[in-house]
Amino acid sequence: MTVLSTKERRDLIALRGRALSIIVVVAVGIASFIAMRGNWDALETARDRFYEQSRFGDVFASAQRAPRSVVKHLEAIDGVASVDARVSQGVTLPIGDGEPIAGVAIGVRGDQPGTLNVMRVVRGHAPEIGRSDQVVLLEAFAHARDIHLGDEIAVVVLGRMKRLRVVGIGVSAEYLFTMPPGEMMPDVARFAVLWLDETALSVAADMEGSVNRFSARVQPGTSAERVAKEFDRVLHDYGGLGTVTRSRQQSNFILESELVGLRNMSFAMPMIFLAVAALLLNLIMKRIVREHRGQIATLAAVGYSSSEIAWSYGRIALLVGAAGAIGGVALGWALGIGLTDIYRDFFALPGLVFKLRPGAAIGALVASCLAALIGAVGALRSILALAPAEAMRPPAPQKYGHGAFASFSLLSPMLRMTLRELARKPLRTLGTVTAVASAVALLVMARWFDDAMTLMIDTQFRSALRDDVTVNLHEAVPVNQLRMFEHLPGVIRAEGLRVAPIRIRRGNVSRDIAIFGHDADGRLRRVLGKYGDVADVPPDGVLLTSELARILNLSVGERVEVDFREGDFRTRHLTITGFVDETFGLSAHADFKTLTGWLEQEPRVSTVLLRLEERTPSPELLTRLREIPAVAGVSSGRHAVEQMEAQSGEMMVVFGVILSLFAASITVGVVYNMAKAALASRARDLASLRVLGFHRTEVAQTLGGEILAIVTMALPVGMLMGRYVMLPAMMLSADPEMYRLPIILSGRTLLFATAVTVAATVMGFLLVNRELKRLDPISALKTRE
Amino acid sequence: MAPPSPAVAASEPVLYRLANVTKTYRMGDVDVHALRGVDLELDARELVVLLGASGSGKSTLLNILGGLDQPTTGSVQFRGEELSTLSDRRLTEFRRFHVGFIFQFYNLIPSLTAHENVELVTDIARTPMTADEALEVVGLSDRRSHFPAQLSGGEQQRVAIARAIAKRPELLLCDEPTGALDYKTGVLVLDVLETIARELGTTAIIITHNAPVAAMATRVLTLADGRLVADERNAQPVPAKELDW
Repeated sequence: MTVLSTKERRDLIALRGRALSIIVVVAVGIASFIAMRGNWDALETARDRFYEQSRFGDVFASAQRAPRSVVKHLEAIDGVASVDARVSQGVTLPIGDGEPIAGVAIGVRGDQPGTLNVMRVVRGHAPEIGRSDQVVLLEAFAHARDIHLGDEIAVVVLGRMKRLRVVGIGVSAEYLFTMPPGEMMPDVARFAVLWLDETALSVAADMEGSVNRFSARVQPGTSAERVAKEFDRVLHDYGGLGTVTRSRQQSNFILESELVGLRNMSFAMPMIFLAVAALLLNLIMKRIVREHRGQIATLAAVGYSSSEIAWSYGRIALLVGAAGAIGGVALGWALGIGLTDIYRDFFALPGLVFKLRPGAAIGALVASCLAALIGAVGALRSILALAPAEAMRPPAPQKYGHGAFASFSLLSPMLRMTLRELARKPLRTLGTVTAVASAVALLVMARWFDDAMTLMIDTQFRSALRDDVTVNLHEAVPVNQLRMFEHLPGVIRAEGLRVAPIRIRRGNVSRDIAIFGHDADGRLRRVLGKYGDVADVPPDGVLLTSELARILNLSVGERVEVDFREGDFRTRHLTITGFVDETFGLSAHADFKTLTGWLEQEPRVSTVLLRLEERTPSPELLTRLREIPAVAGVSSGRHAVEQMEAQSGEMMVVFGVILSLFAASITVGVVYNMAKAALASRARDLASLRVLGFHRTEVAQTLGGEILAIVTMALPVGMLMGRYVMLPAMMLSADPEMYRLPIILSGRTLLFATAVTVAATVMGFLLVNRELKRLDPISALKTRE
Repeated sequence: MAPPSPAVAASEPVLYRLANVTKTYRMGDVDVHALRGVDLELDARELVVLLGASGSGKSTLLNILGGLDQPTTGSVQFRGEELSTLSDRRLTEFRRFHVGFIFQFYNLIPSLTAHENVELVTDIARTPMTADEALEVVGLSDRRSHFPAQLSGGEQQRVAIARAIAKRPELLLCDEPTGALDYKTGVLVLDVLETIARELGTTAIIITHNAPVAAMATRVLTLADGRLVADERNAQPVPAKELDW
């Protein structure tokens, strides 16, 4: 080891407090990268392996009823590698005393798993052939509902109640995420997936000899889109309900958007922290080089080249970066494992194991060192530019101007000192304000989800979803059956909603969505914009989600092609009468009677909305609902909220707490470094103030004043930055077709961001205040410049 | 151009040749004319004392001789090699291999011990003595593990001298080496310098504003307002120990 490296080591030790604060910021950034990137890797790996193991299809289709022989036609489609056809049936699970839960039953043939979308039994066994009383339950649902092997469950198939024994718990690539019908958020607890013996299911579902669910794998190099179109063509005659490619398959679609979000965040978060670390290093290194002028000159005088000297200081910065990276990798590893545990509940992927890839660790190290060097580059350049002889002379006195603050002659000298200090180095001031502001923005981000959800839930349940209980039916029933619901115990009003699957398209772009038929006299369900404004459903034409209009590039007054997947299965050209900014998903809305006309049916309803005397459904009502064969599932708004909060809530709380701690680490680091630098550069001035008779607290105020000014500027800047930069950027990584949460800032969030920032500021300042107390006026005056 | 090697150097009696050297630099908003046309020849093995009031240009001249600074105009030759046109890299090598600096405020690296401060030079020199040898020469072997803050001013300056001589330089440039020291310590330091210059055959240039120190020199140069105003040779130098001020 050379003496120069000994010097570096000791310099670093002398700087330990400030170095540590930067190491923490780097470590936090790297930890977020390692944790998120590692989980992204883990999820992708687990997904790919699981998709391959279960031979997840490329194309997914369903029809009302088709003979098995249709498989031959599907297999004959050019580019199709294999086709899997099954029986499936919408079912209802009247679990306990609660509301009936919608689900789907899929036929399996004993241990022969079928060619595609293979269900994997993780515990127990598959239903035995010919046994109509055995069922395999989706693991996530069984877990959420606390159902175990050997338990007996009731299932209503086509109005007939069956008692089934749970003989297996299974997982499926098709159902990593499940969404209850008519809802827009995944909810594993409220949608059941069951696998039954195929023959038994065919009998129960009245589908003997027929199939209604199809999937295919395409040959390499074949366009899945083209195959999907061919599927639609072949299945059209059998009541085809539409074909989607893997990218639009519901579970995969949700998984993909989570993965994209995770990947984007795993890059964006560390960038913020590394940028702050670079800024802090910039401040520190410049300070050190200034303090070390004499040493640098001496090194040059004894024969070290300026590049050797600069490199020596560069290594100090690199050490800080590397230490941060190493700490960050360790912290990220621990965080990552914790995050995987949370994800394991959220993503039902088997074999989800957090793995630290050497590449990610090396990448983290390189990125940290690069950030450190970028931070140090200004200081290093000043070393290179420093003529050795010039370095021997003391630096010229720092320039101060009266600047913009000349007119503030009414201000106290202390305040003027503070303001001039800030104005003298506008770039440094800007940098520090930006760093603290980014921490404030992170706090805004940490709280935003809660704000958005609160607002959304509030507007949705106050203005849009005004029914107390939503009853989804297996099939649309004549509108006069509403009267039966009206007479159920506790019901004061029953309204019908017609929901039909459609494909809406323009040119080559299309989406499979639902169209909602709203009764003109309906009061329980209204179409809302993003901020809760009620939109009127036109008597003619359709209202579209504005995101859908963007995708299809449509404007009001244009006509759009719509394939109906119910009723007469015809294609119609409908006029667009307006757009609504809905939060979730893509949908179309029309007048009830108009929609019925388009479907060329007698008036039917597929969803029944109930308003109750008591807002909560009574056990008696639920019992009666469970007994109605047409009922597929029942949900109540309150329940939905509880579920949603239970599911995303925990994750968002953890995310919010971690993010807040991370943000606080930035503020503490910046404030500590700023105060430390101010203390070092102005020790003489501050000591002079003490000599002149100022009290210690008054001296502390000049330092505190500077910090207070920075934080005061950073708070509004950070809130704006969060609102107009970070949140929109975060929303960019969320799939807009899935949800478009409103970008809002609540007073609570502003208060929270302010409180955390102020607390972190006080903490950072207290760390320095100890040193301020030790400031010895006499010795400070003796030090040579 | 390679830096002059000691082998070539021995055949050249004139060590330095300066012609019309000027130096102007900016300090803050002020232009400082530090040197206004200096012509000078220095021979090897001379012990030169450079006198002059504060601001007369002594330090600037010393910095230019030591390759720490470049003249604004004029020529500086070291053993026939032009220094004023050398690249930064070559100047660094010149300092590294030929020059030992001693400063008024010692300029020790505070984070390194006495021994390590000397090692700073022995790490990069060509044929250095060991750091222990150099400390032995200045009589500080027993203080080798002390940090600068734990040493007296005289001891710090002796460490600085040890650091300067450890590379066995041809040239010792001393800027007010006794400026921060009391009389007794100052004489001790000058004695060490004198002994080293004699025993190692090193050319030494000592800046001082302390006129009695001139008595120990073989040659005394006086600067005033950036100009060389006197150049006297002293056939009978007084040993440093006998100096009095």
